[in-house]
Amino acid sequence: MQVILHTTQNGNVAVTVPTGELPINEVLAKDCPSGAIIVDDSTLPQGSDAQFFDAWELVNGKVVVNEAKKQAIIDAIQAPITAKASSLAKLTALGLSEAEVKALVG
Amino acid sequence: MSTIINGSSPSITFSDSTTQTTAGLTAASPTITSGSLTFPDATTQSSGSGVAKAWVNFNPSAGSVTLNASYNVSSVTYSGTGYYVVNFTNAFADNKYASAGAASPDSGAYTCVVGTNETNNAVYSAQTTTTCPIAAVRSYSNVLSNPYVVCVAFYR
Repeated sequence: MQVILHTTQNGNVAVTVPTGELPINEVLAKDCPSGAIIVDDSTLPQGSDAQFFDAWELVNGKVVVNEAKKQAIIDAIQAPITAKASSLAKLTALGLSEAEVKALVG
Repeated sequence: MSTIINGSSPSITFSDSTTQTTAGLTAASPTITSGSLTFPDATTQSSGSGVAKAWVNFNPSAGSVTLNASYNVSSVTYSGTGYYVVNFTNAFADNKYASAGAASPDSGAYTCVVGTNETNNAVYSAQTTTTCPIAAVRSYSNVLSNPYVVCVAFYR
């Protein structure tokens, strides 16, 4: 399936999918900004990289995953998990479980 | 020629007492072969205030959307998790149209809601005569999310 790609004002990628009411070239001209390109969606990042859409960038007509942006997304997801693990480690060192602490503090 | 439509079992009776069948008219589903449908308030299908001028049903996923069905929509743009733009085939007369939307839960089974994304910032602009930005969020946390299904209709 063909889709249309363009770079947004924040440097990310936008993917426009035509409904078929109009030919894709008309959609390109009508719905997308100058510089947008038509590609086959099989060329878009697959697998786990597809989940990092906010790290996608359009470089020389091809979507690539910006590794720095990808790592920033991973860090943002990981931060609360790390904080929770740290708290649990401190409780373990005191010989307490999370459930026991919850019971103590209500 | 006058027509009479009976109440309990509707049928057309002509002034010479013939009916649709006895007059030799072929029974067929009502169709408009010329002209246009006109409502009692003199509006038409394209101008009627009670008629959806555009609608779309799609499945968003990371990086794209799968379009299920639509009317007067030329394309849908995926701009990020929970951010979509609906592009109309035929433009509205102005941008004062209303939208009504529904969304399924997301992959985390969280209830989601959709609405127009009138943030008006540099990336996601306000609705225009040709495009309408849509946002989907988890109802309990207001975090942007991709529901399994998004349905939106537009009225003017």
